[in-house]
Amino acid sequence: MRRFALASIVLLILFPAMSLRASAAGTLTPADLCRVQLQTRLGKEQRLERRMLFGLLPAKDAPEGTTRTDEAGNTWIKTGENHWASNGKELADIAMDAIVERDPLSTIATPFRRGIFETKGVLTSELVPSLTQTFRALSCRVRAVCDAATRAVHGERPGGAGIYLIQTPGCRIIPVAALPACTFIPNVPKELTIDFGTAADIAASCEPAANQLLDREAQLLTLAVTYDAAERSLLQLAGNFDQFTLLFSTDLLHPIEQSMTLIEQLSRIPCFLAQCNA
Amino acid sequence: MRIFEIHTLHRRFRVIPFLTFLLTAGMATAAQADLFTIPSSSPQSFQEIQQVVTQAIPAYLTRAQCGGWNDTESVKGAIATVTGAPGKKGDPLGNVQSGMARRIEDGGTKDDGFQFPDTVIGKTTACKPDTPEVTVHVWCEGKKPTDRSCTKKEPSPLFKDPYACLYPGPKQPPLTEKICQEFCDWLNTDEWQYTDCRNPVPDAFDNSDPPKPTHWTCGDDPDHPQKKWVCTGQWVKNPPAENPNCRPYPNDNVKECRGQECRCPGPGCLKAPNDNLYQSFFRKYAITTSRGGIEEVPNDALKKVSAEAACYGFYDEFDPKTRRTKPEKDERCILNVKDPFDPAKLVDTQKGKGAFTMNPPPPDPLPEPRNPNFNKDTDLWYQNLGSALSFLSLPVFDGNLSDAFLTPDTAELLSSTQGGPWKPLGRDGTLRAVDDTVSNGKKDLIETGTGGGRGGGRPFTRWWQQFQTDAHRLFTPATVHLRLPAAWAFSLEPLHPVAISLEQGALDPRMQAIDVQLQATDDLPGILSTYLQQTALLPMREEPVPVVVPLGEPSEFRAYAQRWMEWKANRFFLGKFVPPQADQLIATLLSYAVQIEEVRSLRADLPGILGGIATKQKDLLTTVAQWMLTNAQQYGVFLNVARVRMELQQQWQTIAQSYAQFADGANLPWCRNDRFTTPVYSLLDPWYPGRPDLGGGLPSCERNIQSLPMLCVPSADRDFVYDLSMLRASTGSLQIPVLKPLQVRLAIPTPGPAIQDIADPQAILLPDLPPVPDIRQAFLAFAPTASVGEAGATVSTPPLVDLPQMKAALAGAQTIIDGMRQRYDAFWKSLISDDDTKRLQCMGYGQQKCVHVEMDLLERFTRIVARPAVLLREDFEAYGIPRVPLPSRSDPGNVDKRKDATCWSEDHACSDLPPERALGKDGWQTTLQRDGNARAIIDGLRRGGRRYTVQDDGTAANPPLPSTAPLPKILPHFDVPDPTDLSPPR
Repeated sequence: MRRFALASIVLLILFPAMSLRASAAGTLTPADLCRVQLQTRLGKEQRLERRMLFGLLPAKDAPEGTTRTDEAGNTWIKTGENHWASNGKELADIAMDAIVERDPLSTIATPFRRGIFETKGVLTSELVPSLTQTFRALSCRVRAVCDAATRAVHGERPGGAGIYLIQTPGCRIIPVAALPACTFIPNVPKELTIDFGTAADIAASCEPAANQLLDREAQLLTLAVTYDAAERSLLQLAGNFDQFTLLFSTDLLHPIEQSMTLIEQLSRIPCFLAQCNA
Repeated sequence: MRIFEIHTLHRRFRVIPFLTFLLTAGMATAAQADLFTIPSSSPQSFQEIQQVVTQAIPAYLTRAQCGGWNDTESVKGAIATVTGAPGKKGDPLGNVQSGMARRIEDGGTKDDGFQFPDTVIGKTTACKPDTPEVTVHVWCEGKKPTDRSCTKKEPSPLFKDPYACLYPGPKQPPLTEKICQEFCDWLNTDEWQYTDCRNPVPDAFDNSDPPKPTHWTCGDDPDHPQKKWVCTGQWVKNPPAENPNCRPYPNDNVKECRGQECRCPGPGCLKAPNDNLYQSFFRKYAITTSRGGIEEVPNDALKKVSAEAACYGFYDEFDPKTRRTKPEKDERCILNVKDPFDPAKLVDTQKGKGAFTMNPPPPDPLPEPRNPNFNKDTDLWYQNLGSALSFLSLPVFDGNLSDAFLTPDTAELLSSTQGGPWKPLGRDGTLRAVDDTVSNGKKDLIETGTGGGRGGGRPFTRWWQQFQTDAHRLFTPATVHLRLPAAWAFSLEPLHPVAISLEQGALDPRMQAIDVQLQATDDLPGILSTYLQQTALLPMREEPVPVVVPLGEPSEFRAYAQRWMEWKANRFFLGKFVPPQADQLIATLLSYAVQIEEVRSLRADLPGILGGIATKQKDLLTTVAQWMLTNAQQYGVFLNVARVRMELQQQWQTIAQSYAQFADGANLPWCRNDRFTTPVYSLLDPWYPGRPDLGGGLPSCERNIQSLPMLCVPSADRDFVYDLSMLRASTGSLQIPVLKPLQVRLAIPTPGPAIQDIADPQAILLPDLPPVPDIRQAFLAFAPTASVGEAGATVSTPPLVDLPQMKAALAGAQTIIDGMRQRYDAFWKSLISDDDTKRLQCMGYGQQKCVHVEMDLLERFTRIVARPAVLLREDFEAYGIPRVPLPSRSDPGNVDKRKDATCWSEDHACSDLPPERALGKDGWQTTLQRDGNARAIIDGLRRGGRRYTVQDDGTAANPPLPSTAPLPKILPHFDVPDPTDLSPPR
């Protein structure tokens, strides 16, 4: 069974609004760097959510053309058997498995998993609680990222080990790694830290971006669930029906076919009664 | 014991002939009772059936006038003995197998069995018909007295046969005894006398001693000349002599002919002195019949009957078996059955029924129950009600139909076979019909199978049976059966549901719910065609092939080029240096403007691919369409030929009704049983062809009035079964690559102010646009082509029917049956007493009541007073050779027995069913080849698409696309979805 991969298109549709036009000359300002880091974080959350829904295969099982993101944010593409490449660097499957990005909140050692949609032998209705929970988790996590960015641009320092502990309404406390590019550092030159004006802009624009991301994810999740429901129903029906028609054909239709021939021949027996000549 | 045996053996077929007997009405003439019809053809409950079987039908049978059987009583004595009529006697039980008496054809005066009664009284004449003058021998003057050598012509009474009594005249009919007496008187008038010399006396002598006379003269008294009768040459005497022209002489002085004397011309003739024979032209018979009665009919009025018959015309002795009788010549007798004859009264007096039920009924000889170990608490299927069906046992069935379906019993349908003597179901044929074409030939005593010896063995009955069988075959044309997959009937084919509704107006309600494809309408081939075409095409599955293509408008690039040109112009104006890269950039931008249009061609890729796939699958569609077209045409021909044949059915029904009216109406004026009476051959004229031969001529398919017609039904009829039940929807799906283009904006360098120098001129250079990827050709080169296996078999053309021949044969049969009915009808109607019969007056030969042939009056009277209609012991012995079914070919010892098998095609119950041509289960399925080629092709296409933008080492392609988005941002677009398998674990 194949699913449509919607992630890549979403990414690029969503983020060009915030992407920078690479001008012929120019370096990135601190504000730009902050935005880039924010995008990266939000993108990672989305990728992790997708991983939860659709699963993650080990590198050797992934088909050619699969793209993975590593912890550093680089995108790797599988260009051949046991060959992953990114911007001139090449890796084998095992190495790729070692560097694939991981969920910092996960307590499971391995990042590889079957997706929720890959659960066998259940109806879609039974998947809905898990899907809902996944989406809620995404919602909490992206809001946590925006909250962390807001704190960072307002100069708040992260806690121990560079972690903000964020609690947004309706969610539990989520540890969010610091965003160094967004952290306002007072008393340093302008080129090395974001300024207050940009900070407000970043803080204000993260929320709509996150909302847009969530809306889009919700719509796509609805689409995916609809498709999944149809698929599972058809599978269930098809399996039973194949069995049925096989048995029906051999055990029940065969005598009916015999009787068909026989009864049709019965009508050919000449009628001896004068009634039939009338 | 024997009685029980007969009951069992004949139980099935008893009903059929008895229904014929039981259908006699109480009405005056040939009206018959209404046929019993079952009230409802689809009863709603068992009680309805029970009511009909146990109450309605017995009540109907109880109202019947006659019929039934009495196995203990014998026929001996119940066949009449007739005295006083000419004809041939029969031995009732001399040819039991034929169903008629054996005609006694030896003995008698001529040793041909012909009996002529001694009690007949008639009138004879020595005058010959059609003779206006005769030459008589008279004495001439001068001759010796004994010398009557002189001749003279004298007028003779002119009359013509057959209506001699109407002369002089001829007067108009009717002919009566009185008129014949007047004729006789006329013949005996002195008009028909001639003068002759009775006493010639000599009047001259010679000179011898004693003198001898040499010349004579008449010595009669000239005032009283002596007369002789013209026709006999006898002297007229008074009182009259023995030989007047006609006997009886007026005043009955000369007696009429009596007994054998009336059999003239024939062996009993009296001669006149001139050797003329006294031929009889009128005979009157006094006939009496006598037979025993049967117990069931106490008021039998036909046990002793007396009658008179008057036959006009000159006696003509012949055998109706060997000479065809003509109405205008041979039907010359009229009967007057005494007291007076009233068929309406006979309907009442001849009533009487034998037994018509068996109480108790014999045991049902069906096979043993199929499942003697049925346990009502655990077994789901009950198999013991009949030998074919199985029923769900309610206590075990808890409403889950899937269980029932998944545990079907092996219901095999068996029909009870007509086996050998150990399985006496319908062993024999029907009882013999009464048939006037039965004769005494040696061959007739034995049935010889394939109609060997058409002269014997009841040719008319056999012809009629064959005709009915052929008609039955003609009107059951071959049919085409189309068997479709089970999913169709339940509209459960998931992708293409086809609704086939059950036939509501099927001809036979037994076929409604079972075979929906019989009596297929014209729509079915169309539906089938649509389904096949849709099934033949594979469903397609989309495989995304991501590519990155530049986004831009030609006008945009031209605008950029224009800016650079302005910048260049300004630089020149300012006198600044223009790097040559600027020109290159402008040229590149202008080329972009042209090449960007090519990106649009990507839009045509998907339709192009689909079109290419469709073209490759074209062979599938044309094969299916061609097959369907051929079949539809053939099917149309099939339907047309069948329709043409069925148009004749109306005509056939008329004929069959006419026959039924004969059997139950015209020939059954009251309850009677003609079996074991002597055949009356003159009743076969003039309608029976091929007379005087009794075989009905040589039947042929040609229209020939000299022989019985035959329906020559084409023998190559074949049912055709086309079995598509193995048709499967195509499995697998075709993977179609679909481009997923990502359009990226190009990073076009813009010029700064003209005054500002460009720091790195090399950096403003743009590469050429990479060519637009074309996956269509690459895919179509590897896409699978369709190859078609054998086309399915087609319906074969049915044999054509020779319609004019059929029509002519049916018309011929109609003529024969109608003629038969009229003949027998006239026979029975002629017995009803009225003025004509009381006075024995014949209105004309073959007219009105004067329709009887003299030569078989004896047989006719035997027929008239036949016994009542209850089947007696010997009636059951008049059956055909029991059918010996064909033993199977597989047993080598049976080869010899096969030639004794007797289920002949003219036997109505043995009609052959047309053979069936059933091909093997057939169908089409589109399958994909099972190699992993598709996978590799798609991967290759993806790789190619990727390589436009990203090389295998992850770096940008060379030359790189100058996009605004950095490569890491573009890379995720190339992601390929993971395969997900949801099929359940094995």
